[in-house]
Amino acid sequence: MAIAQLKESLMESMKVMIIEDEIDICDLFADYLEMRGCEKIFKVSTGKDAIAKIEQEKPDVIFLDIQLADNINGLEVLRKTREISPDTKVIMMSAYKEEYGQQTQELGAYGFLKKPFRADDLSKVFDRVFKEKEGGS
Amino acid sequence: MTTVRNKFHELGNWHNKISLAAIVTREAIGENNLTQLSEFQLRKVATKAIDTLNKIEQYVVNADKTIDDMKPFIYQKIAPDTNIPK
Repeated sequence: MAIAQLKESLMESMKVMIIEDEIDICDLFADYLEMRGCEKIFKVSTGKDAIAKIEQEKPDVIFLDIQLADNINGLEVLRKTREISPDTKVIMMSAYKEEYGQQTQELGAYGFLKKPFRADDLSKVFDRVFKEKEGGS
Repeated sequence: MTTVRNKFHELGNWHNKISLAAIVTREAIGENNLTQLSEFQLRKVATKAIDTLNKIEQYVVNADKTIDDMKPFIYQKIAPDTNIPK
């Protein structure tokens, strides 16, 4: 199989979850992932729904906001994800990298995207995740 | 209760949406070799780009409203023309 085809099929099969309380950001992020070739995208806005969906789908990658639409925040979702789906790569998203960066790293986050997003940062994180998936398959 | 902290958070959210919508617009146009696309595909790219540009315009308007909401908080404490704390 040609490399481009292999890359395409890997992207299509990758399960990606966006956990974010702002619907517009969630939708725009999903648009971005679709344009990068992802087809299995799940969107969730509350911590409770996120944990249920992670348990059910065991996504390959999660983009996780810290502030969510209910009383379960992103840090708790991260902790829970490490228990129920340890192979899932969790990338945190927040404007407060200085406050949460170290803590989320210690909790096992794979990466941190600082808001507002920069195209280069998004692209780097995405390529890093993809390369690991490619290496692991 | 509306607080200046809430308003800063709200402004940050509009800012996040503007930056992400700009990234999506660029991705929609930039990732395609436009000269090789069919008319149907070109129409699709243009529709997507216009859609996200419309969103950016709306987010900017909303961000401006938030800034207007913040002015009384700030101007109550700092004279707008002199920057001198009241």
